[in-house]
Amino acid sequence: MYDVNRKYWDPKIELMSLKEIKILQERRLRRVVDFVYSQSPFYRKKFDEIGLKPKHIKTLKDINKIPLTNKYEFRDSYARSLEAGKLPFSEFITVPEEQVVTIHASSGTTGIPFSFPYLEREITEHGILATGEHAARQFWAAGLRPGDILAHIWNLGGAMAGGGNHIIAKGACIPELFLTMIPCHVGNTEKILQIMKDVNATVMICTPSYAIYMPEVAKNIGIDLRKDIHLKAVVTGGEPGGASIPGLRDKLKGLWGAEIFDMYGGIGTGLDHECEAHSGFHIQSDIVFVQVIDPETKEELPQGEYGSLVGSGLELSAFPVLRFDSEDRGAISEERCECGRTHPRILSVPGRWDDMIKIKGFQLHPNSIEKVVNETKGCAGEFLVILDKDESQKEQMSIKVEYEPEVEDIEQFREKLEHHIRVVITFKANVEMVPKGTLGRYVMKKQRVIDNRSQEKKEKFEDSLKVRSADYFDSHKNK
Amino acid sequence: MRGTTEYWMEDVETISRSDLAKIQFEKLRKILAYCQSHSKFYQKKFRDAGVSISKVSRLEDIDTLPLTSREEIVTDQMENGRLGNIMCTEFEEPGQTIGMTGIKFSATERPIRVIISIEDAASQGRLAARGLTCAGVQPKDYLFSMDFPQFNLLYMHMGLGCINLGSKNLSAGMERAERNTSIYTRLYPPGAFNISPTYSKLVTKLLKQTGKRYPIHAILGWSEPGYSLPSWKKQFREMWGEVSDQPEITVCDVYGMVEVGLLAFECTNEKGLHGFEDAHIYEIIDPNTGDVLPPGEEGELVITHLEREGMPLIRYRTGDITSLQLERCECGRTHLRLMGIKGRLDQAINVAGKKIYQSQIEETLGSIKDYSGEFNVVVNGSEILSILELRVLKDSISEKVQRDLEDVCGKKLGVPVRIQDVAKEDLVTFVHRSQKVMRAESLERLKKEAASQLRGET
Repeated sequence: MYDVNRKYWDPKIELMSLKEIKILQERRLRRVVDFVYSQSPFYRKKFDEIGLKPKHIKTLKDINKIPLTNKYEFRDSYARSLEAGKLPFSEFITVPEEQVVTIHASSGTTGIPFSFPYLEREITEHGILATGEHAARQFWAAGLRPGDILAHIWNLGGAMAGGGNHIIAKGACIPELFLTMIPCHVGNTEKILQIMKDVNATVMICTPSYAIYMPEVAKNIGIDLRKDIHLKAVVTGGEPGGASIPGLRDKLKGLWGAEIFDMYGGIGTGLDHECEAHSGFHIQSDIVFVQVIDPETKEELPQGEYGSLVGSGLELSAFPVLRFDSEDRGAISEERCECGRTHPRILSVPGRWDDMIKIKGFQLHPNSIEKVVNETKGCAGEFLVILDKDESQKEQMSIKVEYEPEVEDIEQFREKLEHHIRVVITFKANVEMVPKGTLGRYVMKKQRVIDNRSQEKKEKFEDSLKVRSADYFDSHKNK
Repeated sequence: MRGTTEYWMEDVETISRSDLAKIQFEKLRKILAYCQSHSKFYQKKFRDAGVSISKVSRLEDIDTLPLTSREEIVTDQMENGRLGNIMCTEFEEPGQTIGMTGIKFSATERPIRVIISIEDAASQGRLAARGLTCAGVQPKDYLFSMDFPQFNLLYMHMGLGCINLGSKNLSAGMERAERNTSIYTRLYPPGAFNISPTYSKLVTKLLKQTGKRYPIHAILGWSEPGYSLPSWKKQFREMWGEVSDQPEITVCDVYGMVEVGLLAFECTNEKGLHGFEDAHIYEIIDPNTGDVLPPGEEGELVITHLEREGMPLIRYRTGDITSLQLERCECGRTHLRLMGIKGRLDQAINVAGKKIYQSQIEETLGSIKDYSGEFNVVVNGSEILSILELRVLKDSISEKVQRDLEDVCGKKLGVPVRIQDVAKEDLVTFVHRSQKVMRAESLERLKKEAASQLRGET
């Protein structure tokens, strides 16, 4: 029975109770730790350095005994291997090199770029981009079914993540990619748009910036994106998209007339996709285990709190990943999603991490306030958050909001706005209305938040506004 | 290694020709029945030609079937939309892939859209593995795939071929060679390259700059006149030899088309491209009369699919000129060989009544030492030239060499030749794939293509 009307690609996995998920993850974690300890020199060394043994890892909590890894360590390892005349992944690889079928690179710009070896079954089973279980669950969740045609607008040659003819080829040989697929690559956008029109493509996958760029080209060649092309869905990924950039989802929806499904992919986190609820990225918990840690203390954080995403692969891979600190910011929600899927979701920070406000142990982002301000008639658009300590040294937050001259009863307006903001950010903040133009100088510097709570915090905030200093990788180049 | 006889599927590749004929006939009957029942295009075509497929009772009867031209398919797809009536599968069938032809140098700019099923892709993946082995690629090799991926099913097939063979595929693509080759060659020791001749020039230059030598031993590629040209084999073997630490380098021509798939690979003996006769029937016809020509005679290659579900092609006119060789090759493979691709029928030019192809000019110039090989020939439409004018870069050759060239070319090509100096901006040169014999009407488009290729490298 191949029921195309079923709601979930794999109901058994996607609707598994949270408890069953964790039992499954624990079993797989023990298996992968055993495998990795015995097969991967890099991780064995890490374990041995602290006297850790596979038998010490029994529960999901025990995973925190495993030290973190990050991309700097990967690159150091690559450098060591290359200097010793070996293949870059030689310290990591768990299988004989003959079993590797392809190398999959990520877009390293300076220093030693990343690349990972893959076994054939890694491409065909859980898969990477556009192959395997990941693709099937993702596209099924986006409402697509056999008969839909996917314009795969991704860099297919040239050391890019998710690209590679091999990946597409193998993906083309397994029914998990139930869609008909057009390997569109990037560039020659007129030809891509033309073929999408000519064959009636119903979904496309690309980066958000490409999805913004294509309409300009379409205009030049007289293709109407809503009349000549009928997309049901646009799947975006590869850079922060509709889930984290305010207004982007609506903008894309307006341009393409299709529902926008964002995704998140990282080392150790697999591919995490949106469902019809668009409220976070579902983690494929049978394939990866994702947790959040405090970026400073490195302690595991409970669900709902924002921090660094740490991923561990639960499959037996050629290149294993355990406790990889991506330094990407997010939170995990274990609450049941509207769509019915039980797998926890990654919640992205609604904007730049450095803009994140922490007050009284609480996290919130000025973009959440921005949304309310933009949607409220009478607000001029500009606002400023001020964090302070009151006379009794208690932390407090107040927000200055510019109002349009047309607003008549300012106090009434202020009360309503304050209440509305409070509901949205679930935090008590005092709102002060100021005439339009008052916040002028702050607006020019694009400051949203002033933190007056301590000198140290003040300086830290000011530093975060400066451009990031030279990449660590430049120092590798000189080695 | 040159002259090795490794097979990926020994029984198929060395099958006796009589057994092969039996297999071909069985498959032909099946596919004709399949096309008849699944495609309005073929129903109409057979009906219009007054042909009944049940009357095809021997392999030789294939010439009673009508030929299929590219234009017919273009018209079918334009009139009926999407993939046309020639498509035999349904869109609901999972895992299909759509490609497109003529993405770079199409003379008419009217491409064909192609659809293949999972089985089709798997079949091509097996052919690719056979072909790679044939061309000297080994499981231990890191194969750098440097072709243009857009809508390109051949790029896909080669990738799967790599997975099947067990060699390691690196998709370097066909742009930003400086970045891509430097990323990959720093990390992984290249053993083989799938790369066009023109791109070879750029990539070897980049590799030379590193001052290192790599374990490169197998070069293969398609497009342009191809690595079949004797003077090119010598030239490219030397070129790659400068960046390789291996005792021998094989330079193998490959032939394929997006709409048909992979068609032929040279073996390490480098004496003709081996076809896959269990997957295709290869015929040579006189392009004017449509009559089938015997082995050894030059004419247009016609292909019939024996393993295809998405969009099978029956007696498809490829537009390419070549000849067939049935004699058993030293490598032991019994499948016929294409003796190099002379060129595309519609790109031949007429000089003093004689048909001249770009490959002939390339081979002639290629045998002249120290000449870069860059030239243009520009012709108006189907005009008959009285003299072949080769445009070369001003001041790139001395007057004496120029006169020698005219002399040698004239003798070898059998037509009067004149060398014409032109300024740099008037000479169209490419970095990825070249076309040197051009129609004046296409000049603007080709200049744009050349500029776009150059942009892709910056």
